[in-house]
Amino acid sequence: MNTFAMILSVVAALVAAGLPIAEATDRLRQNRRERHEVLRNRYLHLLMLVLHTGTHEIPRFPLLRRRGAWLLLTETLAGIVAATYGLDTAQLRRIVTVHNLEKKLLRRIRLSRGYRRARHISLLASLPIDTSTTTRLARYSQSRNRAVKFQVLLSRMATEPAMTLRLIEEYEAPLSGCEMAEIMVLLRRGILPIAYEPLLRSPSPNLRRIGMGIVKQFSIEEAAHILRELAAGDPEPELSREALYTLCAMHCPLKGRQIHTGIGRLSVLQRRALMRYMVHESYSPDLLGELFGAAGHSYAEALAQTHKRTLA
Amino acid sequence: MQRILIVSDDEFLRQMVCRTLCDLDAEVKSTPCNTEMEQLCRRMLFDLVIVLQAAPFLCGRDPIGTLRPMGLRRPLFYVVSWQQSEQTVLSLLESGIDQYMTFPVNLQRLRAKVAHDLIRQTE
Repeated sequence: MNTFAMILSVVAALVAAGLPIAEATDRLRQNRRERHEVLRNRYLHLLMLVLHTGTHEIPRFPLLRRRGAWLLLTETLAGIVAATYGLDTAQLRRIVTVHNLEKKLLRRIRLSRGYRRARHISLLASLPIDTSTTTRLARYSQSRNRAVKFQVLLSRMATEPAMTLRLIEEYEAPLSGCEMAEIMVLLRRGILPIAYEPLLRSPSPNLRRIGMGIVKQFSIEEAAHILRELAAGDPEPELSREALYTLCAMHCPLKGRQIHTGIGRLSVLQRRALMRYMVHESYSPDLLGELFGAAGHSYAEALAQTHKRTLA
Repeated sequence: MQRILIVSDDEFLRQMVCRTLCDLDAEVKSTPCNTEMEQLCRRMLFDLVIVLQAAPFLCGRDPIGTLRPMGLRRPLFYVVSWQQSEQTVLSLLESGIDQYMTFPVNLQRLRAKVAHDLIRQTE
């Protein structure tokens, strides 16, 4: 009993001592966050001033020698570049060079691991850097971490737009949905070619995937016949499924032997998912009945009658 | 003096657009949330509202119908968002917005459009 009381009092003493420490740490952290927020706004203001006035003078960024301030400046620069286009990159490049941001970031990449490294690579990719820097990142393209590998690909695409297709072709892992979305953002910047046909007919699965992404994004109905061919006979079952989804997204008529063959390649669960997607895209239960049999018709009707989606 | 309101829950983007428009001959205000946008729009008449997200116009409410006084063409509504699908853009235009731009956005172009619309409103 005595031992128990002693343990209890020790725990109580530890909690009593720990709580103020935790509170103080939290307050310090919050203060630092607020300070960083103020500093970030200041950097943003200075950078926007440089960009709008077109001055060749490099502004003096306050408190840049403080710990972590250079990273704040880098994040601010990367944030501006990510949300805009048509900026004076020469001016931004001068800021990067004068403040040695590239070297500092490369050092940070070398010292960090995993997702932290991927984040730093993505920051570096957002900055206006030259090809020599991306070649220094080449060693990370064999990383076991998928995010790191992908960010290296993005950084190389950003600095060598002419090589984009070859780089994607060489990228071994199949691109995930999120990765595709990031690549599609590059399309808006004009880094990717918009010619969909060579992409859809490419032997590389990733390029075919990109081609489908372009067709879907711009609703290019002229590509429907190629998508039907892919749905029926793409060597990659995943891409065959993606072709069916792309056709649905564009509200193309889903009839013919090729569509039936494509649906035949799907597993039961994948068929159900496709049915749900088709109902979501407002395809009629009759068409679902034609493609999936009587079960498809009743499933579509049941889905349409639920309150999950209000049909007009 | 004309008034511009910028709405976004992303402080960085909000500040960025604010600083792009700050040298125009207009009072630029910003707010992080839609509720505050509605309150501000009811309290004063803005010439232009720039919303940096599409969600307020796609959630089934009719912000433009409620915020634009009857018979007036003010405030103009600009939406800038990452959404690019045809259906979303059509829905936004049908909801009555005056201009839609996607991120990444050209700040000079945005500024020029805003300046042009403000001048047109004074004529």
